[in-house]
Parts: sequence; C-alpha cells; structure tokens
Amino acid sequence: MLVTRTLYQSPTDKALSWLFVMPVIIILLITAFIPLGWGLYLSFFRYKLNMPSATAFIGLKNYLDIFSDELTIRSLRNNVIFAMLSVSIELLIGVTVAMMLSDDNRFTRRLVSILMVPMIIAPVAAGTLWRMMLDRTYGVVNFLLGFLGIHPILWLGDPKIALYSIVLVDSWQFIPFVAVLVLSSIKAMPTSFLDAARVDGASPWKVFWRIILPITSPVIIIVAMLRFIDAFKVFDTIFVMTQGGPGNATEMLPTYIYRQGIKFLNIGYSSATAILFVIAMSVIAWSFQRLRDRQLLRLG
Amino acid sequence: MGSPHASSRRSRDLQLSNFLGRPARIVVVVVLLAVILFPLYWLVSNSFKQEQEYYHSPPIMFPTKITGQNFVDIVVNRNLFTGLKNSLLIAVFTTLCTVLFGSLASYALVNGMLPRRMKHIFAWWFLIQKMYPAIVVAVPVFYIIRSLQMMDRVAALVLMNTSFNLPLVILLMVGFFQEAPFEVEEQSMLDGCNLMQRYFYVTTPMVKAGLIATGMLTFVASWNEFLYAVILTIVRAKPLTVLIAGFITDKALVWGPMAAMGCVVILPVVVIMWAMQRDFISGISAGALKG
Amino acid sequence: MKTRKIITVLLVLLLVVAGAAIGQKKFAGRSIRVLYFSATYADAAKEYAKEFEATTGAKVEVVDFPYLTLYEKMGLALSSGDSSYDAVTPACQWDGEFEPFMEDLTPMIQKDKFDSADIIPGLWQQSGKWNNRIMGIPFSNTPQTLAYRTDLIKQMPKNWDDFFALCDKLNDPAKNFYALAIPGLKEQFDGLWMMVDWSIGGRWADQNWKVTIDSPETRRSLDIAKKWMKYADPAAPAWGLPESDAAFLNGNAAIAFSWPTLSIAPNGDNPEKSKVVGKWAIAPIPYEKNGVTVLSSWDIGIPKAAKNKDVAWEWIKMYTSKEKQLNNFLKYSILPSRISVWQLPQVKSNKLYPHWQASQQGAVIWWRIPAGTMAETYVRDSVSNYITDQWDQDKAVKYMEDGFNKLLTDYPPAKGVMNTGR
Repeated sequence: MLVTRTLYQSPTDKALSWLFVMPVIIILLITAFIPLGWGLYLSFFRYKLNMPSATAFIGLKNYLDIFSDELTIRSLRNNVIFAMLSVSIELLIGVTVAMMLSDDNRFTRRLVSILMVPMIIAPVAAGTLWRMMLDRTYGVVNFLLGFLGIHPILWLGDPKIALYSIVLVDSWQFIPFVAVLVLSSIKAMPTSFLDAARVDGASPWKVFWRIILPITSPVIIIVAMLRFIDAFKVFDTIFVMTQGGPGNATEMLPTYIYRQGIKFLNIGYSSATAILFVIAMSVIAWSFQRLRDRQLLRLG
Repeated sequence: MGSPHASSRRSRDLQLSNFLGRPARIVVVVVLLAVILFPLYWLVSNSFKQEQEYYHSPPIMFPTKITGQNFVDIVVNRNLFTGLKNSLLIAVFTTLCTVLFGSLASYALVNGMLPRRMKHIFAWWFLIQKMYPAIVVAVPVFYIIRSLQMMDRVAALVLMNTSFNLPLVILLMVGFFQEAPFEVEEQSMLDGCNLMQRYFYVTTPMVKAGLIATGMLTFVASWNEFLYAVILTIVRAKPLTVLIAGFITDKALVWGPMAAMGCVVILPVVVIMWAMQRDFISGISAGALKG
Repeated sequence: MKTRKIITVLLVLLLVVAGAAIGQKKFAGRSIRVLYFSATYADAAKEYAKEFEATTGAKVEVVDFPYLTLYEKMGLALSSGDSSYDAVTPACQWDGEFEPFMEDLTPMIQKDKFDSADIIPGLWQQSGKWNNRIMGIPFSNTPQTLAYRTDLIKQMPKNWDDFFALCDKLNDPAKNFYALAIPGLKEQFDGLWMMVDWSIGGRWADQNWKVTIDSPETRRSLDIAKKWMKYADPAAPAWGLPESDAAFLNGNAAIAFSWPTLSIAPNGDNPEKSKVVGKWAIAPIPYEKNGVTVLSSWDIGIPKAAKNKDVAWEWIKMYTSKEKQLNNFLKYSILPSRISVWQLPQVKSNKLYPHWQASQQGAVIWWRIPAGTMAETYVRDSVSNYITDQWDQDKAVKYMEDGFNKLLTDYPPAKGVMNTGR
C-alpha cells in the first residue's frame, strides 16, 4: 500500500529519516511494545500483585483456565451478541440516514452537523446521561413511553434487557459515525454513474440498490470492521451504567479483563486473556480486509 | 420514459434521499432530530434544575425555576477548574505531540530513506494496536509510569494519549503525503534541500488540511479519554472525564451537578467540531477510505 | 571587652533562633496525603484538615474514591510500593491483603501511650489487628442494620417468618408503597444476603478454612433474599444505595435495607430532604439464630512506603481522638470505635444508638485474607444471578463452592491464620 519514492538522497537525509521516526519509536516502545511483551511474559505465570508469595510459573494453564471459566465464556458471549447487534443496527440505520441526507442543501448540511454531536461526546458522559434517562422510576424515557401506553421498562436492572440498553446507547453514539462516513463515500462517487441512471429514468430505490450500495460497499465493509472491533473495546459506557451487572448480564471482555487485572491484580490471568483477545481480533480484522479487497477487485 | 430533452429531465431530478419513499424520509429525519436533540436538551435542562426537581418522579420536563447553583457547585466543590485545566492541557499537548511526531514519521516513511521493512513493521504494528483494548496493558503501564516518577502528572496522560492516537494520525498523514505532488519535492531536492528543510518549508504547507483534520480527531479523542485518566491520576491531574465518573458514588446521586459537569465536558468539543466540521469529516473519511 | 561583645552577640543569636523555633509549628512546610472512602469519613477529614494545618503547620490533602474504585486504587498503590499516600483507610475486609504493605503501629502506640483500652476490643480484632501486628486503628464501627417507619411498625420482628408476615401486611403497590426499599445492585445486595446467611447460622467456611457454603442455611437465606424482591419497587434490582435510601426518605417504603449512617440518618430529620421526618428509627436485623450481621469497619494506618510517617501518625491520633469521634458521630453519623464515646449521653439518646445493640449482638466480616475480595466477587455474582433468575439455586451454590475451593488452593491463607470471619 505504501508507494515509495526511490530517488537518491544524501546521507544526511538518511540520518534525518531515522531522526524523524525516533520519537514515535521511543513512545511506542515505552507505552506499547514493552507493556505488551511484559504482558505476554506474565501470562505464563500465576501472579497476583498483592500476593507475591503465590507467584509460580504455570505455562499454559492460564490459557486453559480461560476456556473453563464460566465468566469468560459469558463475557465473550455477551460481547459477541453486543457486537453483532450494534453493528447491524448501526449499519442499517446509518446507511439509511446517509442516503436521506445525500442531497446537498443547507438543510441537510445543518442536519449533518447536528448529527455529529453524539459521536464526539465522551462515552463516559453519554453513559452517565443515558443512565439518568433510563432509570425506571425517575428516568424520562419511561415517562415518554408512558404516553404511548408502554409500561415502565427496567432498562438497566432487568438482565434480559440490560444488554440491549447498552446496545441502544452505543448505537445512539455511533450511528452518526457510520452515517457520516457512508455519506462522504456517496458524495465521492463519480457523477457519471448517477447521470446514467437519470437518463434511464430509474427510481431512487433502484439506483440505491444497484449502483450506490455496490460502489460504497468497500467503505461500508471497513466501517463495519471498525465498529465491530470497537464493540469489543467497549468499557467506559458499561463502567458508568451497569458495572457489568445485573449478575453478569452486561459483562464484556474489556470489563472482565479490568476486573481480573486491576481489581484482583491477577496480572498473569488477565494478560493471558488479553493476548488471546488480540489474536482473535487480528483474525477478525484480517477477514474483513480480505472481504473488502475482494469487493474492490470485483468492482474493478 | 421521459423525452430526450435535457431540461425536462432536470426538472424530474433524481432525489436519492427519497429512496425509501418521501413519507419515510420525513419520519426518519424527524425521529433522528428528536432522538439526538432531546437527550441534549435533557442534559442542559437538568443542569439548571433545582434540587427538588431533578430527582422527581415523574420527571419534570420543563424546570419551573432555573438556577445556576449546580454550576457554582461544581466549581466550588468538585474542582471544575482543575479538571478543565487538566483536560485542556492533556488535549492540547497530546494534539501537538501526536501531530508533530506523527507527521514527521509519516513524512520519513513516504519521502525518506527508511528500509522497506520499516514500513511493514509500522503497518503491522498499527494494525495490532487497533485490535486490543487499552486495558490490556494497563498494569505494566502503571508500573512504567510509576518508575518514571510520572504518577498523577498531566505528562503521563499526554504520553499515553499520544501513543493511542499515533496509529491513526500516521495512517492518515501517510495518505496525505502520498497525495501531495512529488514534483515540488523533487525540485527542492535538486535545489539541495535536505529532508528537514523539505519537511518544514515545502511539503507540510501542502498537507495543512490533513494536519488540521488529524489534529481535530486527536483533540477530541484525548479530551474524551477515560480509562488511563482514571488509572494514572490521583488528585492533581484529574481531567473532566474522571470527575464526571466520580459522581457515581454510594452517596446520594446528585444529578444536577452531574448534568452540569456533563455540559462542561461536552461543550468545548462540540464548539470546535462545529467550527471546523469540514476538516473533521474529511479526516475520518480519509481514515475509512484509506483503511 | 571583645569577648563580652562576642558572647552578647552569640546570646542574642541564640535567643533569636530559639524564638523562631518555638514560634515555628511542629511540621511546618510538610504535607501529607490521606486516602478515604467517599462518604462521611472523607467529609469529616476535609473539615479537620484546616484545623490540623493550623495547629501543626502540615498541609493535608484528602483524596477520596467511591467504594469500588477505592479498593483498586488502594490495592494498586500499596502492592506496588507507591509512596503517594501517607495514611490510608482500608476496610476491615481488606486487612489481610494490605497488611504486608502497612507499617506496624505498635511501637508508635506504645511510645505515645495511645489509650488502646478505649477501643472496642472485639472490633479491633476484626479491623486493624492482623497477624499479631497492628496495621490500623479502627475509627468506625458500623454493623448493618435496618431503618423502619415508626408510624407503621410498632416492633421489628425477631425472625424472618414474622418479617415476611409484616411485609404482607404493609405492601401496597397500588399506592406506590412497598414494604421494602432494597439496593439491588450486586455490590450492595450481596452483603444483605450474607447477613441473613450468618444470622441463621450459615458460614462460608469453618475456622480451619474448610468450605461449608453448601448448607441448608445457605439455601434458606437465598430463598429469603429472593423473596424480598417481591416486596420491593420493581426498579429495585437496578438501584444503588442512593436510590433505595431516597425511596425510603420519600415515604415510599416501610423498611429500608441500607447502611443508615450514610444517608438516612444524616437526612432523615431534615424536612428539605425527607418526607418522613420524625417517623423513622433504626433496628438490628431479625435475630433468628444469632443476629450476626455484616460489619463495616474502617481502620486507618500508614503504608510502609509513606514518606511522612510522623505527620501521618499525628493525623491518625487526631482523627481517632475522643473529641473527633464525638464530632464525627454528631455531625457525620460516623459510629465511634471508642467505648467511652458510646457511653456519652448525647450518643445514647441519639437515634443511631441501636447500632450499639447490633454490634453487641455480633457483627463480623467475611474472609480478611487476600483471597477474600475474590471470594466476595463469587458471592456477588452468584447471588445476583440467582435473584434475577439467571441461575437456579443449585448452580448458584455450586458456583460459590467451586470458586471458594479454587481460591483456597491457589491463594492459601498464610500458615496459622484462622478464619475469624465467616
């Protein structure tokens, strides 16, 4: 992907090139490479920070324990459901909204600027706000739903519903993200396609389905991948809204790793979970990339 | 279906936005506006409500009396100005460092003389970094920051946030540098400018748009960061995000001040974004399109 | 002549220096940082900080966090040898975990002749003394109790069957009035279950760490806990203490499961914050077998890595002094740890006095060993999953049992340490 300029450059330039990348390398070394490496090393130990006497090399046992731990499976399951639901909803509604705002006039431009607000709000702030609004008794959402004849819903306390509440909040924040990106992609489309469609007198739906969707599909796939990966990083919202409860209904992988690593100081175990996590995510990202590349090829 | 004349065709223009039908469009747009604007209204109105009114069942939609007391409260009792100062320092310095170091590195990657493998290592590393949640390295980072004597310092958060945002910034800037016309570069090289001169005087002005876009993205991301702010701060360096989470305690939930704090957390970013939305959009679009 | 001049000058200098030294406050220019739980304890500390600075010259920075975050912050700081804090306030259940990283206060207590005899002995055993060392001085002694409406209930029941009969009578959902106000959030709720389990004779493990969680008492207490929810506001499963206390203070519940000292007591008779002024009181939990309830006690100690141990010790002495404990009680509803303060007339006539009876009945904490926090999480998750019908009873009990066994194998208690809790 990187095209390089191969032109002879002076030795000063070579030295300067290295100088230019040095800060980044140093920063990444301190804040990323070393911690990850250390984490990998620790994942083979039983190491609880406040019980140094219990430290022991246990090889792959941490990894094996992960698969037999009830809560890891639950967190994983919750996270997968959350990811699939939120990505689907965000894509569906996001694409729809993008289409509906694809006319370029003052009204739609204003709409787009309003649309962008949720996605730049700190997730902590959004989580706190929605926690206030979703309270069963004092919250305004149930109050408004009451006018539609709907009984008060226990958004955050009912284990069957809590997960969907988190999906709701996440979608609220990131449908704009999807919409803005898809919208840019639509706007970047060469007009020749649309002109041809106009000539044929095709209906808007046909144009969407046959032309716009296929052409913007590479972007949509990438957006799906970004949202999917981010869904496995969700932490802030859950931290302020449910702390993983009720029971373990909203426990996700990041909150689980937090619990093991920071709460219990089980560094060995949490590092192992983290490493597995990274591997799994890399596989997923790689699959999405392959899908997109194939789609690009098909479009020629 | 229509006549071959251009004028009559233009009058029956293809309105893409009606792809699901006109009524659907109206409904969606109205619902969208309501769903986005109402929570914001709720936040703002709650921050001006008096104490008896914000913890009330059924909830009060229109406060009968507004008061600035909540804002006074967060300034006096909750260290608002400290939090604001810290958030600002962290966001500004992170943006400066990330954009500076990131663009330097991207430039070197595109126009410099680094071994080919270097670029692959970077690309591979950035992909990995996108994959894992920040929590994964929290404890090792805690140790490292502590041994560098940087606990509860704004500098520590600037360091971490820079690290988080470098991948995206470099990815985007590489794209922008690649788009910049090479002839100008070539010319200045023949004129005898070295890498540093070319960077500062020649190429950077050409990618200003990219710098602004990535700067904005970094600013927003570091302003909103929470996890490491919680782990690495104790008292002095707490930014606004930690302060707002601090409202969730075992004491009474004070929604008024909490909402007021929420307004303060959200407002600056919204203002900046509105002022520079075009750059913002081009930034994230570039990220996805080149991803 | 010359020598006299020199001597005069020297004497004057000596006087000046002496004068300056006397005028100087003892710890001028020093500053300490103390870590507290974000509630009344931190508020009291903040009030005293100014006074402390005025008398000793040392600045005090009070840092506080909510319960969940406090454990993490304290744990991480202590176990990594961080010197950020000069005094910390562990909850008694964290004693075993943090003791290796805390300074032994015994020498300082002996040197300053601290009146140790005034501290409730049973309390100190459960909160502050561990492994034959004194890692902290307890400054609060809060057994978990109930708050109830005196206009609706004449006498609080002595066993759980009577309790539920009372609930049946009082519960009136149609009028938005519920018999019980309960915090359903898992970190609050598990303590409630624990006290029932213990008060009817159950234990997590016996004194020698043999796990005894699978017992009829456990199953019965789980049933009781589940039954409570029938008499509470349907929103209760998502409530924390603030919401359930608010429900009681708003007059929507007859009995509140809570830590009354945190919110109900300070606000109960304040007409601005409470609709039940003058109509509430505190009672111990139903006695059933032994009335044992959960103890919430906080002790204050000095981390080994602290840099200002002498100043910190002065702070500790001040905060746990008789005058301050009385002020803590009257102004902040912090229950004293000193016997003499409990016997003062202002305390005896206060609405919070039933707590003394509750603590005499017995208030204990669960495991105080490092594995204790993780054990509590097993309980927390299991009880919450059972109450919300995600797990059946067998699964809930087995989860706790398996969890306890695994913990005791992986992180065994130090040799010679007995299970003094439950």
